[in-house]
Amino acid sequence: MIDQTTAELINTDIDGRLPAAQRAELSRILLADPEARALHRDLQRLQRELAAVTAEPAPAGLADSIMAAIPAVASGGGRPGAARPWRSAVALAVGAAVVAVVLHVGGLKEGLDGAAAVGTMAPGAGASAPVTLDHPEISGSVRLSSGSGSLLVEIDVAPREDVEVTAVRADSSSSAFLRAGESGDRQRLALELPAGESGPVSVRFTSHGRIIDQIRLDPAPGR
Amino acid sequence: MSEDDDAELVRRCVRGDRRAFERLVQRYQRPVYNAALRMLRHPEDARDVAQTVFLKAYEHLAEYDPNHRFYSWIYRIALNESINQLNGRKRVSPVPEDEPSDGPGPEQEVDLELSGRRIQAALMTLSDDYRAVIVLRHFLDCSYEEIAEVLQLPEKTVKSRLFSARQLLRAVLQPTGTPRP
Repeated sequence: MIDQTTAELINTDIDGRLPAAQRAELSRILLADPEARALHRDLQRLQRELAAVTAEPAPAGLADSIMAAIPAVASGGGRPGAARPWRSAVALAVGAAVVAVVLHVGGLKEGLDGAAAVGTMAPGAGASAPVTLDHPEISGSVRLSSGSGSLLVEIDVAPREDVEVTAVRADSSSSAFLRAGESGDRQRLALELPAGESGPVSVRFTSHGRIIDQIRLDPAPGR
Repeated sequence: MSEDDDAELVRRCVRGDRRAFERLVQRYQRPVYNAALRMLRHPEDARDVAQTVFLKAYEHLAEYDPNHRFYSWIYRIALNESINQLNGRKRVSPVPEDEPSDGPGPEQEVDLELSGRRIQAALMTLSDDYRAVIVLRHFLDCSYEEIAEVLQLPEKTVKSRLFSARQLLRAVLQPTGTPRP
């Protein structure tokens, strides 16, 4: 049985922090005690094995995806710490009428018309019909509405995995990172895009680097 | 890397300099990812945790105490997030099917350099607390003092925990108990 003091001397030596005076003491112990010698030898080997495990490089695109998520985080105030929690970062404003034709693109899905897009949110004034998401990783709905001088992508979902959502329209984009809820908790947020852009809005949902779904939302002309 | 430099980057960041935060991300993404990887084993989970760590750091940067080292703070977030992930998922790490069940004999095995995967498998047998001290000491090269700061524990407790964790790893990696990756 190795006593506490010897164990501490051995471990401190393994960490290269043993003063010279104590090293002499440890040497005496190691000469006299085969059990202590075995522990010292095993821990030296363990140290070498751990040191041989090389650090992995950071995944490609990690820094970019972090920085892409920052604007959504900071939308409450534009500064770190001043930001409101991103899950409620943008108020769900309802503005002037936006008539959207909702189409699903990507994957094997055919386009969805308004009748097929059964949503969980009652559309407010000016909001498009919601398009539903129903995947193992995330379920809920997405729709467009207009804010003050902006186009809002309203997202009302229950993520069961961590999911990144990115809305892109022409040269503008906005994204947020949704943490998996404990029991599929509902999360509502809105991604804001400038109203001045033209063309459809593409909303992409990814989890663990894999695209779960990509939805195309067509704002009404003039939006 | 300079602690003063980190502190300056944090100050600039709090003033709204997004570039400063990007520098911090570039500087710490690798150790944060590796800490999460060693805690969780799964690269995809580690990536998710690393992303969450930096988003939380950004969100709470104004609460960061500049009297402490920035990396201690962000490593603490990384370990806490990893442990939250483990508690939330309780993900099972199956033994890969292509791994042969009969390895080399005990004597040969002692002489073999253990691969990273085998070390990782052994790490996963430890409790979160023990794994955290091993990760900080051996994968992030933290001193006792730095580990104490990250874990907010007395240095004496850190040493005791580290020594116990090593003893457990040693036992797990004994020839009869060597876990297969």
